[in-house]
Amino acid sequence: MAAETGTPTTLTLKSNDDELFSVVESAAILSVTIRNMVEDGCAGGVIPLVNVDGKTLARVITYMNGISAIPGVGAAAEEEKKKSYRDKFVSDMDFETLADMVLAANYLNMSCLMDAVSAKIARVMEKKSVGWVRRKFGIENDYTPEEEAAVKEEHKWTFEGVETDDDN
Amino acid sequence: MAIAEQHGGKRLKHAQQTTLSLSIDRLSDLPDSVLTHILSFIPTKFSVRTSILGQRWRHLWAYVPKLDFRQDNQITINSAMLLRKVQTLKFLRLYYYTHPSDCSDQTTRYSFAIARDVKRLDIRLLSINALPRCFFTCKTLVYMRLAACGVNPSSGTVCLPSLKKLLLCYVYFKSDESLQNLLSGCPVLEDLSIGLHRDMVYCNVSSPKMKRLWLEFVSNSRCDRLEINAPALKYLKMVNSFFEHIKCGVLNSLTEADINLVNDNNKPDYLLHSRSLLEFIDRLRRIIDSVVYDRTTSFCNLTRLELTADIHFISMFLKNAHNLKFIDLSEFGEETEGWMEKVPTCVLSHVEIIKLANIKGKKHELGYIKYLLKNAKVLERMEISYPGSLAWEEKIHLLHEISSFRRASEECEVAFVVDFNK
Repeated sequence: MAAETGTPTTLTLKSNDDELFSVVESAAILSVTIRNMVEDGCAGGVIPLVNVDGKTLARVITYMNGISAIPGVGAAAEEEKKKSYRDKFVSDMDFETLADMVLAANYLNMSCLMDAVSAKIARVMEKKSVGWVRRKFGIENDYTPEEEAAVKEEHKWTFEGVETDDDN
Repeated sequence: MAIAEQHGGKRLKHAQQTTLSLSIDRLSDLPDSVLTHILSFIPTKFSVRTSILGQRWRHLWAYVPKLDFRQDNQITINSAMLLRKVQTLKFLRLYYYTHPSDCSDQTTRYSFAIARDVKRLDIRLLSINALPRCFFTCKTLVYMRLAACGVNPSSGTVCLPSLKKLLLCYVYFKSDESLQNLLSGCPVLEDLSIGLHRDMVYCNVSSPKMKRLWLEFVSNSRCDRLEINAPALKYLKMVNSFFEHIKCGVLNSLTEADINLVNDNNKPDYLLHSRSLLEFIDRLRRIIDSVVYDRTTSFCNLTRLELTADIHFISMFLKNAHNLKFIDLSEFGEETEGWMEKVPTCVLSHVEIIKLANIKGKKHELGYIKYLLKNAKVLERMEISYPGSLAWEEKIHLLHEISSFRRASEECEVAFVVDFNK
């Protein structure tokens, strides 16, 4: 529903733990999921986001507001500023927050945020040991010792030159 | 990812497990598509190692539609290509940081990628051998970045119908025509960045749909002729440029320009005033004129022009830039008195914002600030930035003097900004 001219429309978003947030529509529709819901007629009431908790949604909204506040000085300068904003946004996060953020960005269908968070997770993964990654991602080592040896053999070309170390 | 010797797997302490369990359960719920998306951000050799994590991850890497090789050997590249399970390849990156051991194998790799409808290519080879022809006939390519390789397509052999963005970083062109041969085969190219090799003498950029052009030259470049024919150009950036001859077609769509002209120590000053260069700048000026007087056409304003050049050039330019709204003289600080007074006052009839940097309160600086304030009739804001290292007395002197100058524009606001980097 369009408001009177001059007043930006605000939407109310509800997280899965029933926290309510007010966001300007132009910032909120950075999420394709929210944009689709608005187009389907949800704008009047409250938009329920069942796969995001309040803490994460608050961060996502900070991101949305931050990105839409970047002025369009010139296309090149604008892109540069948005990229630095994203880099800074993800640099402050610990791994658990990154995990929450990637799930949220995936559910909310926000491709630039998704890319920034995925890239950060990837960089973190690249530096850590197998044990660390298994713990953080909740991956159970379900290989039998024979299978594990077979996998190592199959891909020995990538494991060459790697030092063994303990889980850190 | 480093490898750890597995001794039956470690068990988490219960306390740790409860705090982490929420994200863990949800992370393992992530669909394969998201996990492969994450893997696509790391080089292929590392993503293959994730196969050791667990059954689900055994083949995940093989579904990543991207191959990213950094100084990898033949076995690695061939194995990764053969063991992949997904047919499409959206992105191929091949980087060499030291000379590749065997160049001949690369053609098969490119054919491999092209056959899989690759959309993005990022190649850095450190070899001036010309890239094979199949490179330039890929119908699906949308983005291509080439660095440190040889490009020598002959006329009419290039067919890149989908290419929108092209970056050429210190690419070796066997002949000056090679660039134009390449561009003529890219009918929908919108964005071109060239970091020029110093051997190029004549640079010709002609493209009907190009919207963004970035030309960067090295300081000992031999290039002395530049020709630009890009009627749809919206953004032009030239770095370290110095030309005796610039020929430029229509630039009616230009909205942003960032031109950095340097005076090469070997060339005398007068070349900066050479006719073609002034005509080029005149072309930019005409756009501003057209916007003001010709409202029926759909031109955009050239509202920003950042020009870094020496004072002779700037003074000549300002004499002709009647409609400039924004002047940024941050890079300029030469101690020559009186040059600004030679600039006619009509110059300043439209300027709204002036920015000056590294002002220390010297006599010549105060001279031109006084002149600007006295004559800029519609000035809204002058921003003066002074170094953080300036002494207290000097700062007071600066503020006091400038505040006392007569201002032609009543609404003018003078802002003083500290630059802590100086």
